[in-house]
Amino acid sequence: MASAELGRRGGDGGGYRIADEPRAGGLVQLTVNPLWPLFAVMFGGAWLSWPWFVVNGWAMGSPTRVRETLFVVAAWVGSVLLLVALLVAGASLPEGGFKYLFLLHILYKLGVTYRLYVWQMRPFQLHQYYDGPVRNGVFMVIAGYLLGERLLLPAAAELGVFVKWVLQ
Amino acid sequence: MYLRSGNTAAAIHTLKRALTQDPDHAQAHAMLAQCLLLDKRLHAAELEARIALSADPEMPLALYALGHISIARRRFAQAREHFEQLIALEPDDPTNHRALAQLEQLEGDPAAALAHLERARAADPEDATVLSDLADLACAQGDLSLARRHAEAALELAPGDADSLISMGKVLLREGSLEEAHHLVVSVLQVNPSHGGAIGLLAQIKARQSPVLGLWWRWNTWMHSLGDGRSIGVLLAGFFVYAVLSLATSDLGLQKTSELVDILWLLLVVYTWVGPVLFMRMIKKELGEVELSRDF
Repeated sequence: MASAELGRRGGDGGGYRIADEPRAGGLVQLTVNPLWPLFAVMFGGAWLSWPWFVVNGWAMGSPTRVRETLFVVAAWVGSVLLLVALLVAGASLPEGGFKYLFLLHILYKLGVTYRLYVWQMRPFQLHQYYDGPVRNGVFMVIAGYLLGERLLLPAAAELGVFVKWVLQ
Repeated sequence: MYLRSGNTAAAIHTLKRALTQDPDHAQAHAMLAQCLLLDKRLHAAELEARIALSADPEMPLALYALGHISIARRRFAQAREHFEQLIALEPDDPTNHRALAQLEQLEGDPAAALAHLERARAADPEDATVLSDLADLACAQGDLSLARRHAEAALELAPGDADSLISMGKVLLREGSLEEAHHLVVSVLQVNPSHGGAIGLLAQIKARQSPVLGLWWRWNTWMHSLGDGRSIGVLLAGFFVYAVLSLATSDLGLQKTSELVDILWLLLVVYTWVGPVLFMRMIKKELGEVELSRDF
């Protein structure tokens, strides 16, 4: 049966594996609750959150990990393009008007992050169900916050506020 | 047997073992799809149902599962297609008419839903689940006396039937008899601790008992009904409104108002953070106190 390829053998003991069951790889010890990368966008920025989601997806063996990775790549490109568009549109606005326009960029980043969070929650629940290891992400969020505020974002600002906004 | 007691985990485990022995067993794929659907693992459920259908394009169980998966994904047109195909194959099976009735109700056509339920009743007048669906429909339309009559008739046919008990529980809740409704829910949970309808009704009872947490529950139910994409949109729209209000009031020199907007937003964030935790704790505590019957 050709479509039986959709259902497959593999996994523990070569038993039948359901499509959405996590296939944890060598990074499995790095798995965290997707809530932490979600917090990371609020306390650190997209520079911390989005790559973290990608690593987390691969760590827990999320069935949508390739889609998540491509989504993050596209999201970075989209972020840059949106900022350029906002800067062009904001040039004709009165003083103080740009910060309202800039909200769209924040919304965009939150939207991307929520989408990643929703995608990863279901595989994460299955990962937990199969007793997969889960790390506490709070230290990463704190470290990311400190690193971002003290080092990365000031350095990015030196390169230009545009770079900082993209990373933030 | 596992499915009847709501133990989808054990059912999935058993079916996986069967599929390890025979990966082309179409019936096992269809049953697995049904179990995964109950666990809300929609992507995997759809895949399993399609595997079953590729072996037997007219397998009723796979079509039934696929129809319900389509409903869960809010693809109503596809669901209708599957159910209509199912009815063409098995016109005398009341389950198929019930499925289409559920779809009609979701699409906001109670008259069509009633027509399908009447066809289901004509197909098998002794089927208590059809009467229980009729009770639910009447209850949703606010006709409590008719709902009660249907629920009583269902319980007369099948005194211990979980769906009929839940239907009666819904009527009692709407009538304001919280204690009696609670009693029925507990009696269902004693036999099937993961009965979705019973847990849903228990949540409704708890939401009625605690207005503050009930507000969160209603909000959560509404958000879930929107689906992932739209609910993210609602959250982002809420944040946008807050951010614009906060900036605008600050720009206009209305510092007090700006602070009030920030405080209200913070309270909303805390409420939506703490609300689900407290509500889930309340439900879990209640479920933890349920003593399983010997029939479990």
